[in-house]
Amino acid sequence: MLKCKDVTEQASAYIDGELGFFEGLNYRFHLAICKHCQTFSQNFQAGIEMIKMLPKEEIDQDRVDAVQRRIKDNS
Amino acid sequence: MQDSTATIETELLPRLLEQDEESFNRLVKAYYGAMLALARSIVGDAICDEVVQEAWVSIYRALPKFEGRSSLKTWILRITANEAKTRLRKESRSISLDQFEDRGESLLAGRFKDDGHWHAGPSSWHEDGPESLLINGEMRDCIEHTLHHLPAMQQAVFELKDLSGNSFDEICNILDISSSNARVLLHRARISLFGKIEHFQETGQC
Repeated sequence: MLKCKDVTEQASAYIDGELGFFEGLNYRFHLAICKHCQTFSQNFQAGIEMIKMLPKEEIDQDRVDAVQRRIKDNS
Repeated sequence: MQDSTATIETELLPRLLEQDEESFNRLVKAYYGAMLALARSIVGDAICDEVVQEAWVSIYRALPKFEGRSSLKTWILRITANEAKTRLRKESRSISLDQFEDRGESLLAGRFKDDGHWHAGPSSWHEDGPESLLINGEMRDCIEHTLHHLPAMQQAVFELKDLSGNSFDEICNILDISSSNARVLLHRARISLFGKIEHFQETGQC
């Protein structure tokens, strides 16, 4: 029987689809009966999704040109 | 217009092996961003551009010898990671990279009773989904600050997996770490970020 602490320790393996069949079953069973872990699981996944939405840095042409210059200087 | 990974790995590769300048420029445009994010996660903001520039010099020299044992992108990111790790060791003088990997126990360690169940469970976050949390600019700044202050290898794995979508196999190849280590580092990074977001949700402070 999983404890709440185990759920938090296996949370990444669960969302990455890396738990085996019985481990996954145990995990989902615990979530079904434990409100705290349901909340944890939702928040944990929402946090990751949120971070994925952070804007990515744009790469300007200056940086590409700088690579060219550097390669010419080194050759 | 930036080339897709598929275009680079198939159409561009033969010309790249001959060090064709125009193809190389397209390669730089396509992968600079991913390299910069990886380098930043390992060496920080101040010298990440310098690391990427140096990595490109190494890549340009080594390209004719690329054997295709991994994808070109993985190979490029591996060179970048090596450049960043070498630079980090130099900057930190005698400190080993291992010391940047971990800060011990999980942030959640104190949250459980002796029987392994929650002392006080987590509270629900905003119900409208993750994007609604990001509307708060201070929350965004807090997450970026937290992310950039994680131990170097945790940041690198988080960047490669969750932000850039690489597989664990690719991450192990890029960072030269074991599969179990990659998984542990990723989980610790996620838990640290989760802990910080939760703290911000509850207190309004980073």
